[in-house]
Amino acid sequence: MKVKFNIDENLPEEKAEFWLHKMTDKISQIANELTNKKEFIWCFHRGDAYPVKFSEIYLVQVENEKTYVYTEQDTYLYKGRLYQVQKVLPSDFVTVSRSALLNYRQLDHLQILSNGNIDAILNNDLHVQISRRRIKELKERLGL
Amino acid sequence: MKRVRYMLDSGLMGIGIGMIWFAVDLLSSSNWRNLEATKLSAINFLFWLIISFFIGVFFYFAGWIFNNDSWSLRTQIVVNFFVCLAAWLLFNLIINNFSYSWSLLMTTVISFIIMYAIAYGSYFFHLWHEVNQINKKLKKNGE
Repeated sequence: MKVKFNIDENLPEEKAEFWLHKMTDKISQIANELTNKKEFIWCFHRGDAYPVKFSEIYLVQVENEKTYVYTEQDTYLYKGRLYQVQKVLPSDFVTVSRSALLNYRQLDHLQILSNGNIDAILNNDLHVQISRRRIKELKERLGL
Repeated sequence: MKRVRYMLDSGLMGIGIGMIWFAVDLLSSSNWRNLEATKLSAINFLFWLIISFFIGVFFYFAGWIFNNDSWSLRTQIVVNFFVCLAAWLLFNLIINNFSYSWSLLMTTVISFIIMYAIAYGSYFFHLWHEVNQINKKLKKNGE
């Protein structure tokens, strides 16, 4: 896709316009990101609610039907489904399996395990299994 | 639509592998000599062309086994291998009018193992290459 920027300091209002063949989830997520001023989600830790900034989130993962949000050092509970949190998160987050979304900016490397599965290792040394089908999407997000 | 495209891609890959196989089989039948004199039956060629396509499509459907994330890759490969082998044995029995012999069984199993190794070997090599590409990019971004 071609991207064009018209930078003008005297512009009365900033706007973005897309010329597309069809609407995709990725474009929808980018549009949400551009229009949404909220940059955090409400999460719970030991019964208390905290606003967790998108940029601080490393991983969102479903475990035992509960949605957990992982930051560098803490784990929070998100009271909602994975698809609900996915709608509000910016395009930095990539679906890596049916039960996990990771912030690709916090991805350190991928590791092929001896059983053939692939693990994503995050910058805080958190390991998460990545589905082989999602490798292509991750590549695209990294600009490969 | 995406699934139909992937299915057709798999069918075309089947044609690619099948036709290489067909050429090797044809040339080996003439002991790799008098290659210019080797004859090719059009009906035989068309039959294997179409069958190769359907084998490719079958591999696409059998590949759904790999979508089961709760299984390890080893389990997925073992299940996929035996599902495909069973289908290949059945297909070979049908085209040989259910006449069974040990030599036919051995030839069928060995030919299947070679085809399977080519198809999935290239897939896993591609995957390994993609993981390496991603790691290189991440390392470059981190520097």
